[in-house]
Amino acid sequence: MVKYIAYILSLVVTTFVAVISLEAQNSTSSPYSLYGVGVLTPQEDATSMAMGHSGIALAPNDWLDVANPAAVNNLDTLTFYFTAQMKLFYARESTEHDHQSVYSANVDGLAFGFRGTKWWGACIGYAPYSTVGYHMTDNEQYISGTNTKYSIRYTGSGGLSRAFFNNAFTLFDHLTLGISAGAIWGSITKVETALFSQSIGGEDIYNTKKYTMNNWFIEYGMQFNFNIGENNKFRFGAVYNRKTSLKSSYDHIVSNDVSNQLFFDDVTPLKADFTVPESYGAGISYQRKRFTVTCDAKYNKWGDLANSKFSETARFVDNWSIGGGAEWAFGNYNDIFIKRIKLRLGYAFETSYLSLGGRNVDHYKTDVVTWKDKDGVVHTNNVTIPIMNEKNSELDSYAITAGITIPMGRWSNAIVIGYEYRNHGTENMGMVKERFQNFKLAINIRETWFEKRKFE
Amino acid sequence: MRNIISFITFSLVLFIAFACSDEDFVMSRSFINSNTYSEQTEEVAIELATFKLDSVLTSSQNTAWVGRCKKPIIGNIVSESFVKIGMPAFVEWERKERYDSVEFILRHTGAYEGDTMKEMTIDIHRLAQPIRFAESETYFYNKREFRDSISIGKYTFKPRPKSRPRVHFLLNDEFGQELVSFIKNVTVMGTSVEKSFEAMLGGIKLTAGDESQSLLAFRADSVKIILHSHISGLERKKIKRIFSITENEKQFNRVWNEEVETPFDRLTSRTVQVKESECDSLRHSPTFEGLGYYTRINFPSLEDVVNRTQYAHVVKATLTLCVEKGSFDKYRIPNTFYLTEVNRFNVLGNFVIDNSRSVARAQVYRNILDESQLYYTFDLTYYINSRLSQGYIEPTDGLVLTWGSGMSPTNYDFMVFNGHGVMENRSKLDITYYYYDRIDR
Repeated sequence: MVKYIAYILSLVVTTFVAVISLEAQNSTSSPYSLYGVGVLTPQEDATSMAMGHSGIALAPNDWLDVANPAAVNNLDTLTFYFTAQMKLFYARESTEHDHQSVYSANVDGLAFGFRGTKWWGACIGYAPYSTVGYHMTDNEQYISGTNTKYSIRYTGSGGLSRAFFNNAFTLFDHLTLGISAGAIWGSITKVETALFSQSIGGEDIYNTKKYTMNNWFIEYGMQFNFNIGENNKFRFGAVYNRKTSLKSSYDHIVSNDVSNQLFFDDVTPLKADFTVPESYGAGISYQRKRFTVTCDAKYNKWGDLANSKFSETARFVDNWSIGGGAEWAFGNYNDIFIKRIKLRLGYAFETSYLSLGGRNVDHYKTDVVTWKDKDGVVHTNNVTIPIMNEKNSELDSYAITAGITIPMGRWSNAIVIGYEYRNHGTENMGMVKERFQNFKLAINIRETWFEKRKFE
Repeated sequence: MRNIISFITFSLVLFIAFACSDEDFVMSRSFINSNTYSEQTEEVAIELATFKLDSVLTSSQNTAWVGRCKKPIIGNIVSESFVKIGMPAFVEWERKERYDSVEFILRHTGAYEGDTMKEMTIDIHRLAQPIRFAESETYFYNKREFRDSISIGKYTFKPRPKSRPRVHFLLNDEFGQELVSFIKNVTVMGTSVEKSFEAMLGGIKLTAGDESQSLLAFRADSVKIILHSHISGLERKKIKRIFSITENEKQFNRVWNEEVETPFDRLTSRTVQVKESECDSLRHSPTFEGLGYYTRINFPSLEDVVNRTQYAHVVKATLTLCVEKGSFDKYRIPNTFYLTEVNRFNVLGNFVIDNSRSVARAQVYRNILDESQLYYTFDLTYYINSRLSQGYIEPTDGLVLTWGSGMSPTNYDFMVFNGHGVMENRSKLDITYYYYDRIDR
């Protein structure tokens, strides 16, 4: 037992060392991470991802479901759970005139879980909350007062992390309430490099903005389960978190290659703190023997934030998502290897929480305009006026997901692989179309810790 | 199990280590939509001025300029050259030796100014007083005007500086006989003899006749006086004694302006400036090393730049000096100029350096379609930022335009720069600011 704990701890330490030493390695390359706190990372493990990013209404007993703090109510009382998860992705990003391919990998989460009592389960973990990682260049910038163009390079890195302590309290036999207490913290560094050296032979200027933010974060959850007959098991789940302002500070550094730092400001406050939006989520699952199907829907009130509008053409808007999937298990945990394999399939759709590129033309209306010329003669003209809407539907995304659980050794230790093909964005209106091939690889380890032997 | 986990962990770390992306993604401004800063280029007022750096006579080692020519703005320029002549190695006069003639020899460098189709006269004078350095300065010559010079020969000819590089003619026999008498009296060579020779022939002045309309450049080391003689006997023996230039550092040219009442008459000392507004209606500033005229660039608006840079940084400062049409020889355009710091007393400081810590050199731009359009640009970014960073702007500090070493075979090259006050092709300072006060927090 001691050896095993030591091994797990060494694995954890190795993983964290990898994270720290490869800090510059971002787990996103999305140009959309330019906005807000970056690209949000789904709070889920590889199993949930493979089932269309749904897990609110699941209560597994062989892996740690972090999509709902109430989901750890069904863990085995004699078992300690550990999950380490990596994310690998290959992305092809394209605009009307350019494209690039990116692949990268990073740590995607760690979690420990156990069931302390019959009515209390808990899970402690770490996961990225958002990531920023973009490298973009705008070659069409003009110097005011001239016809001279120059380039600006935009780079961003960093992101937010989340640590959580999920607790599930089973009340009665069918109802479980969950609460997740934790913290969100991190920093985001955005650098705008004005490349005057390439155009007018001037100095390159590095305009660096470093945002640091943190706060406690509470999430609530519940699950309710009931059976119809012996084999038809239903479970409802819901999650909710309040709008949470992150205490944000801001360092502004302007520098060049000649005299280094030209300006530093860590006093001027931000106009508004970054905020985690109020979110609602609900899900339903159905299990019959070794077949499980589940579906989640979520709604995030991004448009409600104080700093939702970045500029005239970019803002946060409320978004919703829906996803679902199914799982097939061929046997029980004590069957032979092939029967312990599980397969998953899913689909997800999500509207964007970003509205970019201005408002879209919703429809046109014709109006009559009268005007006088210099002689005082009145003229009448029909004009067509575009009526705009603020919805930018082309940034919606959809994903097809799949996954497999590969058993390892005895007991229920397993490697879980989740795969997602996600299509996001558009090449129209100067925006970016992204096609992701995402892989999540989770190592689920279970160890019996709390067994009391009657005979030594 | 543990082996498999270790293998997976190791593989992932490797994957992370070699993860990569392409170079920057080119995006449109509409996507990025950043408002965090702005930039702007504006023209900042400068002022050109002319001052006389070399307030006495202009040294021009190795080249003897003789003649006159007409320059824009400053009018007729006259130049005469002074050299010091030394004793020959062989001075003993034979008993049967007879004087024949005394010859003067020069060689063209090939450089010239003015109209070489017209005849010119070179008049050779002997100086009564020797050429000496001024007491306090080593590179200026004394201010004596050598009134005691006496003509010892003149030669009128049609210059052929390219095709006939050698010019030679005879000097007066009286001068030749005087040389013979001196040699006869020499018994043993020594310092006293050289001093006696210097007392007899303080130096040679080469000057041009009034009708001359060209300015010719001769190699100073080609100046020679040859005393021809012979010994009669069974066989006639010709003897040549060559009196060559000595103490080359004391060779110099004296240049002056024949024009009366020019704006530059005030330039009697180094500290005086003739500003572009005082020059002429076209606000010019001539640069002419021959007269010691240098163009100075003043920055009267630098205080305004300081105020602007409270939340801004100068990323580029370009000084453009436009050359007045017709004020330069289009076949001999300098490739570059340098700038030197100068204070209110016109005392020169260091060369201006650029961001790479190298001496800032001018880039020359010439309009191919309009050959008369010529201007030079300097990168003054480092200089301007250095001055702004000092906190206090000394308004009387400026820059001086200096000719690039080795770029010109003569120091009689001449240019007139347009001031900032002219409407077309004016000299100017363009500054590009990077404002960082528009941070979208």
